[in-house]
Amino acid sequence: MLVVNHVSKSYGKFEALKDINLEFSNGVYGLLAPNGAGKTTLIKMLTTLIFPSSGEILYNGTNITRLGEKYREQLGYLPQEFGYYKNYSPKQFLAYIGALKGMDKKVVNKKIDELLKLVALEDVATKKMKKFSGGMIQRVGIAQAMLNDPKILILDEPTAGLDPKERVRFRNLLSELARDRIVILSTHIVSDVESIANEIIMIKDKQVLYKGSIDEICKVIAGMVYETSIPYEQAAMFKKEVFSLSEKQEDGLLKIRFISKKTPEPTWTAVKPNLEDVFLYVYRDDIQESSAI
Amino acid sequence: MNKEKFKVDFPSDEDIARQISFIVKEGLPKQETFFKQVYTMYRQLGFQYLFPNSIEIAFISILIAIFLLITGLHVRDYFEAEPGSVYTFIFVTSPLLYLTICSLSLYHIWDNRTYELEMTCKYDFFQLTAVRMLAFSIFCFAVNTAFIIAMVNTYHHISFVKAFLISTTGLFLFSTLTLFVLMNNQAKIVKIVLLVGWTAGNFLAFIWSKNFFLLVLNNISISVYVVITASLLVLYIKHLQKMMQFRKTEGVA
Repeated sequence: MLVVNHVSKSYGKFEALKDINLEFSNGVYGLLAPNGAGKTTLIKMLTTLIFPSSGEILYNGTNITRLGEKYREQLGYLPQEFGYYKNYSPKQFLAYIGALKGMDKKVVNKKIDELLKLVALEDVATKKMKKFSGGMIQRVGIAQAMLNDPKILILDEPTAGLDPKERVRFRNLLSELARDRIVILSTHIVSDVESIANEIIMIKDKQVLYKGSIDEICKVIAGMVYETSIPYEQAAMFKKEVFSLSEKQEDGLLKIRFISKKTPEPTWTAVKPNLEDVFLYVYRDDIQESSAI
Repeated sequence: MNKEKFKVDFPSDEDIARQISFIVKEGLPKQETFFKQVYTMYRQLGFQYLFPNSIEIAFISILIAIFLLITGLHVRDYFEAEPGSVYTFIFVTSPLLYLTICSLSLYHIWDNRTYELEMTCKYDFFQLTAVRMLAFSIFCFAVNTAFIIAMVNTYHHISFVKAFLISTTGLFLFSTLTLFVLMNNQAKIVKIVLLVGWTAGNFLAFIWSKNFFLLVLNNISISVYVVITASLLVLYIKHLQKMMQFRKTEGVA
């Protein structure tokens, strides 16, 4: 079990994260927040790239900085900006990472073949990566993160550059992997975690705002989400009264999904909130916050 | 009432000290020596992965060796007119190859953005850099020695021992400074100033206060050079050792 215990991180006078408390056991955790909220700072502390200013991170009861390379042996990490040697082929690069992870050469070679097949790169296994597309590079990144069969798999914006088909395949793969390991997925794309995460962690104002299952988190706005269709002329006025979540044209009218705390009008249809609604509501900007509802 | 007296057999102070030392020895992870660690890393990674850009390093080394030889062997008039200046040349150029290949190696990591990934592996960036720098310094030491042999054969007034010690001092002075700057997380500008400024600074010092520079280099006795070189070598290895342990922490893991 991985435990984040009263962790704060400051850079000089700037406080990036404040008193974070989290517990991770096997399963998929979606770390959801807009860009710049502190997701990457937390991820970097979990991967020992930076150290907390105060508090501690424990893996099976021992501080991860104290565990050092023993912790890193259990870790698979895909950074937001995945770096690779352009003149290496995926096979060479994975063999290099396997060596750095201290893995046995025979085990690495077997694992490389399996992983390249899994991420559908077996046809280009020996081609230099400098000619690869963004999606192909990202798949090499995913493969390297899983190379040592890690007990803790941390992926920072892993689906960037993947096409819809690859995203679905990747999500299924993560669900399968999470049966016997901790998978932490940092993203600002709600759909990446909505279908697979056992728990969602939302960070706001440098602190953990919510941690729970999708159903639990959606309860935050239960009974406040509606849909209605209105003429376009009324749209501007209507949006001043409510917090708009999404809009689309339908039969010459504007179909709008929104949040309102007012007593519902007869034309409004109550709908079940989803994670994206919560995300938009929680991270609405200050202007919307003051004008809506 | 007959009280039974219990006699507790306390261990002696020596026994306690011995037991504590046994527990600590067994409990703490075994610390490998620096050279054992280097050997283990070499066995695990092999030459190919320790030096992923070895072809470029070889190419650059050949270019610099040619440059040094051409410069060193074709300014005969100047070196013969100013006999001491050849030692200045040797001192200033001794870390040139080391500077270039270290910069190239670090540039590759920066350019390929592999730092974060390498920092999360068992053998991290600092351990890799320590081994690479050790290898680079041994390689540069060999190239510098070969260069001095060529210079001694060309300029018969040069003392091999003195030239060798000056070159080794220059190399290990620079490499120790490089390690110090890298490990103390100095601002990028400090690293750039050190890497680029060494040669430029020495040349400028040589031009502006030529007499002083010549005086310092030529008046230090061989025995002082031996002491300086040996001290720098020890300091360099100690810094490499520190770099190897940079991310490790103590304790019963």
